[in-house]
Order: sequence, then structure tokens, then C-alpha cells
Amino acid sequence: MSNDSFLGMFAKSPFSSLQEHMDVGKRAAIELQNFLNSAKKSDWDAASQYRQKIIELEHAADGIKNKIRSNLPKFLFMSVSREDLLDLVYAMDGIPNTAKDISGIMIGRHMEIPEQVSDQFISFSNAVIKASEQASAAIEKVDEIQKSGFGSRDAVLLQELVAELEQLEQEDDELEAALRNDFFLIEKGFPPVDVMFFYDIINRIGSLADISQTVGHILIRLVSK
Amino acid sequence: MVEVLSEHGHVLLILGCIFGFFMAWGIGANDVANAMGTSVGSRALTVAQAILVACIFEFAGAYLAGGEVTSTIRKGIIDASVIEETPELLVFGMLAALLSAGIWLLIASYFGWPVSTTHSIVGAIVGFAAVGIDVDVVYWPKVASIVASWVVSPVMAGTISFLLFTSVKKLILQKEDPFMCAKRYVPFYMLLAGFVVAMVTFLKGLKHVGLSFTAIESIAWSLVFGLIIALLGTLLLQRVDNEIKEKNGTMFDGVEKIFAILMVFTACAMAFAHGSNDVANAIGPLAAIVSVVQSGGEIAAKSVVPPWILMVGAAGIVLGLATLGFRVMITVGRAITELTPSRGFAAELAAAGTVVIASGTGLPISTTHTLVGAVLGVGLARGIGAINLGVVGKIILSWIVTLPVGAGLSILFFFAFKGFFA
Repeated sequence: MSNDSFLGMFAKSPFSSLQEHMDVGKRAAIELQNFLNSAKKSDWDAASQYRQKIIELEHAADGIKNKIRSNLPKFLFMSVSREDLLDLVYAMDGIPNTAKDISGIMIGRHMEIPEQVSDQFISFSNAVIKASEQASAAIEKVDEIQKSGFGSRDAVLLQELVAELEQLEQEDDELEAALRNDFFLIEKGFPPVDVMFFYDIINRIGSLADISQTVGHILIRLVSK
Repeated sequence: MVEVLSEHGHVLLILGCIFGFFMAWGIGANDVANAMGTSVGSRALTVAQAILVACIFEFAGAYLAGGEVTSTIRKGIIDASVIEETPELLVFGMLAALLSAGIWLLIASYFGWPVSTTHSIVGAIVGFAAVGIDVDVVYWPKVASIVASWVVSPVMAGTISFLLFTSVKKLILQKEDPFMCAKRYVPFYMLLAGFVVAMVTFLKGLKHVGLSFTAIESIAWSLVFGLIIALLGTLLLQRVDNEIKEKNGTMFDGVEKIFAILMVFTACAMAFAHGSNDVANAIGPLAAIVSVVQSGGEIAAKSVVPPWILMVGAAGIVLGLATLGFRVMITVGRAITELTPSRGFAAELAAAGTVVIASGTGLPISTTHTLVGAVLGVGLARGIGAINLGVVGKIILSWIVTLPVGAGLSILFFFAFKGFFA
């Protein structure tokens, strides 16, 4: 009996791998939170340990991503659109990647977080990480939706989750704007290159929230088909 | 020419029995795994349980409801009136058909090709008759309706499974408390499974046992049977409740456990349906041989299929299961499918219903292809994560390829037998 037998028609469902990938992404975001806290205290030993974990998680995420992609040949007949699925994987993969980039830049430069805005910086990044946790919750919901056969009741629940996600992203935007504003007032007191990189980091952290929001939007598209 | 029959009658009969048994054995060894694969793959049954269910219900299906399709294979494809002068040709041809279909099944099993026994036997019969004897010997309208049923049956199974799974979604999966809803509605699906199987049996299958029912009696008895099944199922479902409470499982885990119980019932129906349709592939030709030889050359189109022949087929299938089928099943059991019981049951019930109805109307269809259609139906209802259409394509291709191969082999054997005996 080879794979050509009747049971060969049941291909691997992509949903469990999606959750697996998102879970790794969420863990990378949480490690980034730990990393930023250590960076705030200029504890670079602890920070590089967290950085190491982020790198490992990013590798793991790449592995899962490739597994999902290689299990998606064109001749699959799926309960969701293949294009949406690939878009989703691409978007989700941005979370561990961005976490890795942020930690890489900061550790490379031993980047000090300006004292005056450091609490603000941490609460901003905490809020962003909350958004990625919300995205992860939305993916779990999709798994349930799939188990129930894509009912409209579940789709409404997902929409609620994503609406909350949008709310979080908006709050993150406001926090980001406030942080930029406050730092702008004191930026003259710092070396210009450091200032540039600090803005860059703020930007990248903000993009994490955008990614989470994108994940939510693709999920709605995925479910509605 | 008819002396051939009186001279070699016993040899031909024995050969027919051996080839028929060989074919039935092949069906049991290989084909049954497809029928039971969905149950085993979705973990509703263990391999051992599946074999037990298959043994009992394949036998029951073959013996109780296998008569109609057997008659079709025996005398529906070939126009008996054309070859009344040369009945021995029919015997040679049926022997050739059995042998070629059996060998083809063996080759295909070895390479893991998903061939259909139904298609190989029909191809083989049409082949020896049209090429070996005369094109006019084949009763083409019947062949056309059989081929049409090969297209209709997967479509019908797909439509039914689509509707079944959609009803499961609406009635159970998308409700506030799917577990309670499952407990409430699953017995109705059990009733449906019991009813369909019983209906075909009562209407068509019990004549040779000496029982005959009118349509209304059949409906009444089938309803009673279905109700008994549903009651039995309800009792089993009570037990699931307690187990779940103890284990404190999540919402859909409990729901799937309930459907797993339902799937035990649909697996029985599936095995019954498979037995009722596929046993004919082995014993239809045998029945033709027996009736010609025993009547001393008369192509008796009237007589019913003797029960002992059905028995030979049923026993052959069970023996095939016991000797080799279990190994195939273990392979199937290892293949982890992402088919959950709430989906698997819909596919199985739709396929079993379609096959058993075809059995009642005497149409030889492919169980595997019907099941493929049913699975696609669930897929269309967004029930299955991913279906590999490449494999589906290969299965469809195999049924197209099987026809000329079966025909070619049987033409070859036909002339060999003819040269040897005549």
C-alpha cells in the first residue's frame, strides 16, 4: 500500500502547524519583552541570553514555515484559500523575524534606553507584545472554527477578537506617537547616531503591532473564504 | 460443442470455484481496507475491531444483499439469447474474466495502485464477450447504465455527505453546547444508518432465505430495526458522558468521542454495503458458470443465484481479511489521517447508503470511488483541512486504465481456455 491508496487523499491539514508557528512567534515576542527589560537595566549578559532564545525561536519558526509551505502543493483542495494561507504564514513569520532584528541591533550597539523615556518605552513595548498575544488567541480561535466547520457564529467571535486586536494596535500607535514626541523634546542631548537608532527601534517595535493586526485581518479573510 | 461441458463439466466447475474464491479472497485481502480505512484512520475503530466488524458485516452484506448485483454480473452484461448455441463460450469467458480480474487485482495490490475490483471484472466480461465472441453479445444498454452509475455514484455520495455534514454543522457543531446537541441528534444518524441498510436487505436480500416482504412491510421493519439501533446507540452514548466528565476534556474532544461511537455504526453499514456490492465481482461469474454447467449447457436466465455460491464469496472475503487483509489494515491504521469522526461518519454513511442502494438496484459500483466522492462532499462543506487532489486524480485514472487492462487480460485467457478445452 503506497500513498496512492485511498487514504492518501487525506493530506496534512495546515491548521495545527499554523498554531505551532504562531505559538513560537508569541514566545519570541515574550522573550523580546524580557530582552528589552534587561536592556533597560543595561544587563547585557541577561539580554544576550534572551537574544539567544529569540534566535532559536526564529529558527524554529522558519522550520515550521518551510514545513507548511512544502505541504501546500497546488493540487490541494482545502477548506481555506491557499493564497490566504501563504499570506498568513508570511505575515506571522514577521513576528519572530522582527524580534530578532530588534534584539540584534540593540545588542550590537549595547544600546542604552534614554532614562527619561525608559518606562514609557517599556510600557509601549509591553502593549505591542499584548497585540501579538491577541493575534495568537485569534489563531487558536480559527482552529476551533475549523473544527466546527466554519460556522457564522464562530466567525462573529473571531471578528470580535480581531476588533479587540485593532483596538490594541490603535493604542500602540498612540503610545508610539507619545514616545516619539517626548523623545523629540530631549533628543538634542544625545549623540545623533544613537538618536537615529532609537527611532529605528521604536519604529520596528511599532511594526510588530502592525504585523499582529495584519495577521488578524488575514484570518478574517481566511475564515470567510 | 456442448460435449465440452459434459466432458469437462467438473473441471470447469472446480476451476470456477477456485477462481471465484481467489477473487473473493483478493477483495477481502485488499479492497476491504478501503471500506474500513476511514474508520481506522479517524481512530473510531482499532485495527482489530475493524477486522471483526468487517468479518461479520462483509459476510452479512454479501450473503443477505449480494444477490442483485450478482445477477447483473452473471447475466445482465451479456445478452444470453445470442449465445444460446455456444454456452461453453460463456463458461470460458467467465473463467477468463475471474482469472484476469484476480491477477490484475494482485498486480495492482503489489504496486499499491488503487484499482477497483468492480471495474476490472466488468471490463473483463465486456472484453471477452465483445472481442472473443461478438460485439453483439454484449448487452450495451446495461453496460452503459453501469458505466453511468460509476459517474453517478460518487456524485450522489458526495451530495449526500455534503448535506449530512452541513446538517451536523447546523445541528451540532455550531451550537452553544455542541456536546449536548451531539448526544441529542447523533441517535437520528444511527437510525438513518440502520434504516438504509435494513431497507435494502428487506426489499431485496431475504428472498433466498425464504422471506419476502412488501414495500410497506419492509419500511416498517426497517424503521423498527433503525429504532433498535438508535436505542442501542443512545445507551452507548450515555457512557461517553461519564467518561468525558471524568477526564474533563475540551468541548470538541467530547463531541468527537460521540461521533466516534456513531462511526462504529456507520463502519458496520459500510462493511455491509461493501460486502453486498463487491461480493458479486467474485461470484457473479461463478454463478454464471455454475448455472450453465449444471443445466448441461442451458443458459438459464431465470434461476436465482444459489445461496451456497453467495456463501463461497462471503467466506472468501472473510478468509482474505483474515490472511492478508489484517496486514493491509495495519498499514492503513498507521496512516494518520486528519479525518475526525464528525467528518468520517458523514463520508461513510453517504457512501454506505449509496452503495447499498446500488446493490439493491443491481448496479455494480466501486466502493472506493463512492467513498472518494463522499469525502470530497465533506470537503466541499469545508469539513476537511486539505484533500490531495493528486491522489484523487490517480484513483480516477486507475479506473479508466483498469477497463482496457481487464479486458485485454480476459481476452487473452479466453482464447487460452478455448484452445485448451475445445
